[in-house]
Amino acid sequence: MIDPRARFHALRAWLLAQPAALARETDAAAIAAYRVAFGLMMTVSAGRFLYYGWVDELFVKPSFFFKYWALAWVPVPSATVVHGIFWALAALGIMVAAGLFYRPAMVTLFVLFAWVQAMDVTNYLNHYYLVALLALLMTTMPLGRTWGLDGVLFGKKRTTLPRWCTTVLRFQVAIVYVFAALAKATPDWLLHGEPLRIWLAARTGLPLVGWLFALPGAALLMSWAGFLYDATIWIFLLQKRTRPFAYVAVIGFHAMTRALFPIGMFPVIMVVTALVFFDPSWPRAVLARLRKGAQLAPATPSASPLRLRAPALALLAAYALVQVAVPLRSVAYGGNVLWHEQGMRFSWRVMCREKNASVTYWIEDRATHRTFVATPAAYLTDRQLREFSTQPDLVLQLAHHVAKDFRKRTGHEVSVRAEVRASLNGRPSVLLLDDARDLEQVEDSLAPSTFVRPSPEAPPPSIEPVHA
Amino acid sequence: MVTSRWFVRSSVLLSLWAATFGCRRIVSEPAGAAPLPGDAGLTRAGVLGAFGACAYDLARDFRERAETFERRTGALASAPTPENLAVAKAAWEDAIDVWERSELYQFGPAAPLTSPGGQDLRAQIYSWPTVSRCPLEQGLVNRTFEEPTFTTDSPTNRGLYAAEYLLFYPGTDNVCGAGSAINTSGAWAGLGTTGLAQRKGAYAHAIALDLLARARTLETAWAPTGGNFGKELTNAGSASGLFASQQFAFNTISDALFYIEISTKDMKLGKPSGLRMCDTPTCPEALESPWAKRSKSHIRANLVGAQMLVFGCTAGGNVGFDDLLSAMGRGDVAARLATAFNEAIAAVDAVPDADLDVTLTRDRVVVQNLYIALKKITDIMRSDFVTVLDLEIPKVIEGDND
Repeated sequence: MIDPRARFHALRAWLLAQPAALARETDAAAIAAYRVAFGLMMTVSAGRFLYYGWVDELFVKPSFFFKYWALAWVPVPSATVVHGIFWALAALGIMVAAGLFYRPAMVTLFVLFAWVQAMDVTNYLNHYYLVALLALLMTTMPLGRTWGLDGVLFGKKRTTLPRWCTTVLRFQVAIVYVFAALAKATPDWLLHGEPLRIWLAARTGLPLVGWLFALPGAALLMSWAGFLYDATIWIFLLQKRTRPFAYVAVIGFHAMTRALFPIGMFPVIMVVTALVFFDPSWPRAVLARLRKGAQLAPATPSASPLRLRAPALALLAAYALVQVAVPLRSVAYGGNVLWHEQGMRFSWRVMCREKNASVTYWIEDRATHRTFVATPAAYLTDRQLREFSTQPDLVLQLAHHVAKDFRKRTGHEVSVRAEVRASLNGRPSVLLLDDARDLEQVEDSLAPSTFVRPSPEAPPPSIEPVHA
Repeated sequence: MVTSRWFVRSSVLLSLWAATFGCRRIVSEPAGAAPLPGDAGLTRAGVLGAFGACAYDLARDFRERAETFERRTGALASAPTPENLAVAKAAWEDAIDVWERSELYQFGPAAPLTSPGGQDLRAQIYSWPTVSRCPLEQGLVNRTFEEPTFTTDSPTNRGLYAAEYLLFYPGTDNVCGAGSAINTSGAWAGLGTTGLAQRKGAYAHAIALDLLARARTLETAWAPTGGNFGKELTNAGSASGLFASQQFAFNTISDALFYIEISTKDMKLGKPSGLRMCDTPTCPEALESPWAKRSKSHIRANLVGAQMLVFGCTAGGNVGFDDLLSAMGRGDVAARLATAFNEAIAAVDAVPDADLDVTLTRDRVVVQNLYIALKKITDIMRSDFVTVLDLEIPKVIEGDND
């Protein structure tokens, strides 16, 4: 029986020791290597947007942009400026990788990347959010003087950094995995194997592995494997003995998701970012091996160590709290977050649902009582159409825009109802929203929505794969 | 401590297994060996092959009708009598009846050049809704249809839409405006009623010749002894150079199926009925067939074409998306689609008027109800259908499904 008082004192002592522990200087090699990889990833990512024409597709072609709550003021600049932003991101990625004018480059990169992400909600992807958070964290770190041109140009090279730099990055990645696991802890995922069952059934024709997806129980087995992977991988990455095996699993897992799904840079980002769990000196060991035993100069503590003052510590603690609280906010809303989607974004619910919906707006001219139909396709790009239709707050935003458009054209007040039929993880489609509700009278807010109908309670019907 | 170590080891092994288990049995067991639940011999490749068989059958049918149309318009060009005009009109109706079913098959050679295997044949055969009357009237005067470059002229000046105007519009006016050269020069007026009829017959025959060439190209592209495009579908994901995966092929077919929403429901019914993008109570000018008055039958033919994709056709062994859904254990989605299709076709058949322009004048609600009947189909397609089959509509750039 442990004395609660003793336990409290032990905890208190541990907490009090943390500022010093977090401020302790450690080898900066690993985090410098990560800086290089991160910068290059940003350059490649921006280059992909430019090369594939996604800049025009996502930021120029749309005539309507969905805004984040409280961020409606974020402007969408002209095509030239948006293209310029992506060229700048590509260049800034190289500067960050090279450690050239690191701090201003990283801050600018973060601001521009966050700006791009805030322009249209339908572009939201969890891995872009992760990149934005990592960029934000890295703006606080003096990474340019370690294996970077800043150290060459301006002197004061650093070979060590305070431990908190690595710790916050590890914390951030662990948060992603933990909440990705929690998001999968649902009956759909763990009992019915959905939505993997649907996705695998559509991929039985894949070369070599497709036939496996048609085997009974494959979807459920892979669902559990995915859940356990997310729930535990960060623990294994933290432990030195299991780390190499865990990293092989990381590579294998993400290679498989890359092969199966069009998830762009996500696997690369996760594989590269998992390197933050490795020993701070791992690049030295790798380089030594590449140079056949020739050792690099060991890390020497900086002559001007960075202190972790109380305000900074408080900021770190606040950041950590926010990172825990934001994904958990869906609990406060109750119901099925995959259905009402309140608390869906910024909560690492990656690959958790197969949801599609048909949306029709019914508009009544209050002056003439004539009824019109507005199809979202008239206002949105194909890509926006695909993304928005299952997200009630976005359906609401477009309803307001449709009403505004009709008011402008007719000069009359209108009511707008949305008929949205949605299917979640293979369940028969049902109405997602209250189709009798005039959405013109509904304002978007953080309060629980009153226009979303309850989620269907029946389990998803079983889907059997068909041979290729 | 022992428990913790066991847990760590087990979890690592499980994670590794999760990442690699797909590779272990590849060597020992060939694809296609395992019996599958809910699968009564149906394969996804078989379903794709059935789409190809139906497309080929339609292309062959259309080519036959195009041949008849060419003969009939040839006779009309030689002797522009009312009898020959009536026969040519009937041949056009036969041809477009098949083509309106083929509208749903805008994949492969009929699709735009940007699509896999696309030869843009659909636009060459039927350009609607991209239409323009004045250039046709200018062509009548200037005899552009006799020039060797006619076959590369704008598709709006050729194809079934242009032929409809030439055969079915009885007026002698034009829409080119008083300042147009054909009017200022007096060339249009100089044609006279007889001259205009002769010129229209000749123009229609030139179109029919071009149509026949396109129809033959389309048929050849699908023919097993020709381009054999059906093989590309059957071999999707394995030996196809155009479809890297079966899912890509299914998505391509599904995209074509959505013609029923975008064109049939929204353009052919939504706008004319005044429900969509129409500032006046109704917009009959948006009806598809302004001169032949076949807008209603076109909609029915579109529905039949969509049914052929969803429920199969005779040439394809009656295999369609419904068989795939049933084999996947989701016959309920196929049944709901069947009900919605039957109701929509019944609603079209229940319209008492010869064409929708009369109905719009009489009671626009009847046309609006047709829109709602078609919406029941497209609601299922956009939700249950694409979810169960994991179809992407439209193709998306990338995502992490959140």
